[in-house]
Amino acid sequence: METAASQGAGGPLAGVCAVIPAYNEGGAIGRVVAGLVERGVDVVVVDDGSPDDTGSRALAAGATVLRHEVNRGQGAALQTGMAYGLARGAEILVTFDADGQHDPDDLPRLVAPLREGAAEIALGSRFLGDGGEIPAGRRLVLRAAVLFTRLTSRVRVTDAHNGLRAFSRRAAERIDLHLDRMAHASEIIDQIRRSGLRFTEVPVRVRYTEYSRRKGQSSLAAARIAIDYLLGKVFR
Amino acid sequence: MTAFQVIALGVLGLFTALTLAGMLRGRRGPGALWLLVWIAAGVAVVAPDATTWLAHFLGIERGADLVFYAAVLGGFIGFFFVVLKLRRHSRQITILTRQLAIANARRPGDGSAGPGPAAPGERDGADGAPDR
Repeated sequence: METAASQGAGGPLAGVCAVIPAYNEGGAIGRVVAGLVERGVDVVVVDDGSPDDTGSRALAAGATVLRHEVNRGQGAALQTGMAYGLARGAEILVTFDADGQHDPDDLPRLVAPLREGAAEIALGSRFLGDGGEIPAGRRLVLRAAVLFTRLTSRVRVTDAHNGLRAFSRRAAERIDLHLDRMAHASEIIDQIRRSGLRFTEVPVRVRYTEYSRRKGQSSLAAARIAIDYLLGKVFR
Repeated sequence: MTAFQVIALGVLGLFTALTLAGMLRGRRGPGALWLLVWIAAGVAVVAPDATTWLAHFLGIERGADLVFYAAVLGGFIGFFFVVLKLRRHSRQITILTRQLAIANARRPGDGSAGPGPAAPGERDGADGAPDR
């Protein structure tokens, strides 16, 4: 995949495609995309039917933009971006949030295990090392999500709902998300277990800004996400 | 025959005719099952004692109870199949949306203007509730 960095440079982020699902992120997407593009990452933004100017701002900042004409949910947008990245020959696909919560400086550390062949998937965890200031209520919900994931997927992770992840090409080809909305995060863990792909967790920072807190999922939504995930297991 | 029996038989007769017409036109679906439902309902309306006999046969005290249980069970089963169908349709919408998005990808600097955001009210998700 031709990027500013990969064209003869071979930097740590060469061949990396960042997939950013976005809905109504006109306020942050330009900054997020620019931060990745200047590090030589190929950026694909999936505009999930946003009524605002998310798509045009992302395009202006240097991202390739795919637009869902109908809002389908973050899981669907992720799968769309990953399918596109694979078709374009990406060696490593990284999922990245659109609201500015993730730090692009974490990417080299995130993809390092994949480069070294130590794992095929690297999951970011805000609970390993200094993950940043996590609001108390959010911490409680995230811990509950970890427990839920350990019980349902039988996979031991420390952060089940972190949107910062890296997949090798081979791993990305084996992931096929059917849960369109927020329950896709649990579905990813499920598919990791079932496919036997080697994964590791990497400490990353998550920044909770006023903007991201306003845009984020409410704690009550966590119950709905759990139900959506369980229904997906029944009705798939 | 009571007024209720006349009205009920009329309605059931109409649905039976519609179902038969659909089947004769080659429409696919559980037509035979619905015919069975309309006929069984018709029998229950014309000969309510038949439901009592069947209820006793099944170990249920009253015919009315049997009809109620059958209606509730049938309702849940029908609801289950409707949910399955809705999920299948939702998946198909996602696949189509994905294919369109990929086919119309806009790359920086390729000069494609692309469609702008739609007018308000045209951007609801499949369930009417936008999501991230």
